[in-house]
Amino acid sequence: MLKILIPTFMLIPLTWWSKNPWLWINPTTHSLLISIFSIMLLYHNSDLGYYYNTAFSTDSLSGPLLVLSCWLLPLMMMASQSHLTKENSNRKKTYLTMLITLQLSLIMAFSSSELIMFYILFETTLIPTLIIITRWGNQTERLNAGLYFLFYTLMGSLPLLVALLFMHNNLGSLHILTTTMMPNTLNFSAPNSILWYACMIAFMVKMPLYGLHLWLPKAHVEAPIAGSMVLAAILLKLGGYGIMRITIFTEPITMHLSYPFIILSMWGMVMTSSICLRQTDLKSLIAYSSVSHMGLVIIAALMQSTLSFMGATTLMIAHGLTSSMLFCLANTNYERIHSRTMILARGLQTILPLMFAWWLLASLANLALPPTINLLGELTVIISSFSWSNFSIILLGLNTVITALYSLHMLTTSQRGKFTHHTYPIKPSFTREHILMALHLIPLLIISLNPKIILGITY
Amino acid sequence: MAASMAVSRGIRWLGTAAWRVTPVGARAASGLSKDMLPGPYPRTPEERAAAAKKYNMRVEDYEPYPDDGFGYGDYPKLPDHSQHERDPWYDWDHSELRLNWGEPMHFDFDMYTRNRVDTSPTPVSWNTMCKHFFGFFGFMMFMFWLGEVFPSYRPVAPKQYPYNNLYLERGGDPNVEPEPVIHYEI
Amino acid sequence: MNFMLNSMILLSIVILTLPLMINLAFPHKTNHFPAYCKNAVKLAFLTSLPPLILFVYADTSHHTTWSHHTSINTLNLSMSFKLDHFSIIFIPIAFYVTWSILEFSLWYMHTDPKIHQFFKYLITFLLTMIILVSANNLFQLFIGWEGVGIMSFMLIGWWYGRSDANTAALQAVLYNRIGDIGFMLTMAWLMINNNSWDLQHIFMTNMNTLALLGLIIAATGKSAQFGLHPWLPSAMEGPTPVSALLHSSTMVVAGIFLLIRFHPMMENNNTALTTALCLGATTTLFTAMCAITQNDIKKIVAFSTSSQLGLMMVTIGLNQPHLAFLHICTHAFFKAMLFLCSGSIIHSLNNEQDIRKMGGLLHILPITSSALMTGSLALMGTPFLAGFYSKDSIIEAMNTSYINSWAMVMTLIATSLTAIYSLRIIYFALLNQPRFPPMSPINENNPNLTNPITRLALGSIFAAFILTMNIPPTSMVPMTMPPALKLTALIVTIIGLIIPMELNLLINKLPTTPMIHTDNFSNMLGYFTHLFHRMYPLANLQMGQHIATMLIDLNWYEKTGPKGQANLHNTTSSYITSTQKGLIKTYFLSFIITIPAIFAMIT
Repeated sequence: MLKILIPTFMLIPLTWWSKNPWLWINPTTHSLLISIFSIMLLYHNSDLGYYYNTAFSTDSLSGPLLVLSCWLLPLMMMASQSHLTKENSNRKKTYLTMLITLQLSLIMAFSSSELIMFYILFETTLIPTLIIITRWGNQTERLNAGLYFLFYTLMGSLPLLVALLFMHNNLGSLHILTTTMMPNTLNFSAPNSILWYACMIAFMVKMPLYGLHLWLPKAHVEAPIAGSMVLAAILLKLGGYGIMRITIFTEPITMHLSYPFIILSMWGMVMTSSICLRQTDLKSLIAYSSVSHMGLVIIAALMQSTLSFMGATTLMIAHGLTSSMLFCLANTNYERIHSRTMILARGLQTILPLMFAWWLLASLANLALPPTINLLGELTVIISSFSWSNFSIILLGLNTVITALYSLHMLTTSQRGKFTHHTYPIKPSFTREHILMALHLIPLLIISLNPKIILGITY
Repeated sequence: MAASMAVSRGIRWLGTAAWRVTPVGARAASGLSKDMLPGPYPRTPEERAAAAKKYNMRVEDYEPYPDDGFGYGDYPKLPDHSQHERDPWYDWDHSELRLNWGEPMHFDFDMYTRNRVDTSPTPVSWNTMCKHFFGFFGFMMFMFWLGEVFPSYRPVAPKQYPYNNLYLERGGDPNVEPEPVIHYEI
Repeated sequence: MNFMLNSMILLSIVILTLPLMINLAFPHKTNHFPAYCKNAVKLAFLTSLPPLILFVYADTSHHTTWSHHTSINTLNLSMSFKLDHFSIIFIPIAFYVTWSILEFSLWYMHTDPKIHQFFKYLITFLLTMIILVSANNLFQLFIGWEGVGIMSFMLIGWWYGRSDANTAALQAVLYNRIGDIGFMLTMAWLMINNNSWDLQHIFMTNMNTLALLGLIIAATGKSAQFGLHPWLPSAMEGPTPVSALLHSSTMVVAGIFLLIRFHPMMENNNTALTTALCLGATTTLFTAMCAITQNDIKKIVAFSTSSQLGLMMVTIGLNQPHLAFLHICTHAFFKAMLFLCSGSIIHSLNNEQDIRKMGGLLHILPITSSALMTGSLALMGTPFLAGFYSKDSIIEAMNTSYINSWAMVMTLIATSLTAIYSLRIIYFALLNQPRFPPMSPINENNPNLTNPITRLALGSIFAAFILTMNIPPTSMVPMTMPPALKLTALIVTIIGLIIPMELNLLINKLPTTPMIHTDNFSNMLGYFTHLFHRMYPLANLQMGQHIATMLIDLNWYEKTGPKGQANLHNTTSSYITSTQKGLIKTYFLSFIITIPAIFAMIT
């Protein structure tokens, strides 16, 4: 694990001692090297996963998420080059340092094998994210968004701390690998239910569950591009990851208590998808589509079946890449049109044909076109919820229809139609942007060819 | 639709009864900046005039949404007509949206664009359309049910086989004399 | 011999991917790309012929598994092909039709600046269609299934500057997606109950009515059956070659094809069969009714396609999958040709699609006219043309089966309506005096125009004969029946020819009476689009904004959550603050009471 942690940490001095012309190139290349190095985490052949030392271990659930977070760092750096051009070099360096710190805490959070440490790092990720949102966001509303982001997640996670301390007291250890072997049953009773809620609510806010999602569109919209990317791609996945980890401790009470949550997120998916249909703001649309997709992950993680865990893991990775790519595309539009309003940027296909290709592929991945892993994930979730209740297919099916509708509506509005004259002196698309999109899409395609590397612990 | 409207009205009443406060930012679900949000609801005629000027409208045409706490603020209430209804041959500034520069947009403008809802008048009234279509559909359903009750078929006799209709071959008891099968009568 | 069968079919698929590879490798060499695409498809067609001959000769069929994709628990997903009766016959036909259409597009789209991209899309579409047809497991079939849907989105919206084209493209995806709910339902059901998506595994077990209804919903979406049909006429916003390829001969039959594939599961389930029968009968009647008053030539052909798809659905309901498949094959030839003919006419008359503004084309567009005649006659089921072999047998099978009598009556009426609308095209477009402007760029010399039409005309004359002669029907078709039943199809068609002729002679001289309800019903597509395309979007989008966003998210959640908290804290803190008046003396005085009390308690 240190092979990844130390180089990531050393990115900070690298950033600060880089000369101005090398400021972007140095950290980007090095983080890309680290991410290539991290790909070996995908390899797993034992049931227990890799046990590096007492603090760190990975298995096939955290491995793909780790690789995803390593992969996203260079992409974030590439994406934010343009909007930081006006800043001076110290601020750029601070920004990069924030990204790297976030990366560091994410890596440790995903690989920590102790739940208390996981909790600490889970909270640590808030700080750099908050700074990124509130310092480099574009509008004054970023302060409000930062407030929402911080308070929602903090309020949600305090009960988790209490619950974890209590469980540690009871069990003597919160080590993930050892507790899987402990006889530990949480039977159905009122105090146990409170314990379960306390464990879950932090992750439900983080995911977010419909009803606790208000911070998400605000944070996504106000954050600078790197913030949106990392929020959508990885930070939300901490929630899903946490649910899947903590439900090991909370058997069999999850079975009884998860019903309202499953129903709520099914209903919430349809509602948030309908909200997406009416969003005029491009980033807000993508943010709400994240809420809708994460609803699927919540369903899958609470369903607690082999298949649904696979679906949840797959969907998390797939959605991480797809939504991050959509945010990047939205940002390229924003940098040209200087507005997120969809109706102002129409008919861009005429001018930026290659960008249209990226838009098309990203939208198709978002609506889960086969053979992308998005489909594999959605399909496994649909299957497992179908076996849970036949009627769930109505809501889930409705959601797939609406998802297709808003994805293609987004595509049609922004790319198709006549070109508008007010956007006329438009910048051409840069190679940097094309590489950025390609680096999002290539992993998606590779994993689609061989999905078994990200099918998670139950594979 | 009527039902959904009624439900929405009911819920809206609940919402307004419970929380009667200032605009919360009606249009986008995420944070819009102050200057993109509508202003407070105009109460005096002067405020109305100012709001009308802000939205590039004449005071006579200006009509805000009712102040029900949903955050419409001073946004003008425009007639619910889709862009489909507008003249396709006029030289619009945005020919695709059929919209001119500086023209106030409907609150639900994104819904009334040409590839979404169409409200243009139809040659046949809504009631007649409903009656005829559902009449046709209901009639077809009824007749299918009737057709199911009285199916069409060509009467055929059951298949006949030698050896007492393959009595032994079908696993009949060899000791019991089978009932002779007669397909005819004289 | 067997190795040759599957290797040649797969070779033809590989040949199909070559143009895409070339385009990836040399994206800027686009000058000869369209012609190259056409030749690749031609080559693929020729390559796929030997397997067809082999199949006819030796009656072989194959399952080929190429590579293992992934396995989830006990479910194996692999890339595997099913080369049986259906795919081996359909693949060459699809290639043949596509070859003609690509050649036609060379002429029709030659002014388009992105013609190479158009060809690339068509080839990609064909590839997904072949994947769909030859898939041996449901996941692979779904890849093709969604692939054709998305390619249809891209191709309908080819002229993306037009708002109507974009709307039509979105509509197509939306309706197809509704059908996909059914497909996913079936996939989920199979996964849970059979734990396999491989067709041969599925066919060893049984499926219940729910799963079969899922398939029927899927077919309803893809094959534009009643309820999910409006996307097909709207899809005519796309270029004519697209209509010819996707919306007549290949993509739209995918739904029927799926049901044919799953026929072993359906044949014992009466509910599913009756549903298919009634759905098909409603579709064929409803769309034929819509077709008779349309004035746009492409719309008429589109509705006739929809009506024929309904007829195929009826055949599925009759438990005659092989007949349905035969109708798919014959229909591909003449319907693609009808579209090409209408494309030729539209191009010659300067993009005029209204049949009222045509007339007299018989003399100036002889090849197109004769092909149009042939196609229409084949569509009506004139003896010994393509349509006859399938349509006549379908109606015979229907007359002799034990089925819903109303469905039978409706199908017969729809058959006679076929004659009416076909005759209407011929009468308005080809006969009488010209009604188009004299300066129209009428030209029929380009071999890229005439060759494909002639080729498809030959196909629609001979193909069905060759197919039925060489491939014996595998499911039982009744052979003996009274002459009246045997001749029903012909009689009904002839009635459909004679009555409108007479009516036409009669009514031509009368003043027109506007606002007749029946005419409106038919002309406005049975009010279906007017009702549902206004009601649902309005209701859903209003719901999305006013209830989901403004009421729930921005009011309830905001005000019970953060804003409510803030309010609560603000009010309580200001309330508490106002009690703190800075009256130190009073506060200290309160100690007089409390301190003795505490002392009292301690002591």
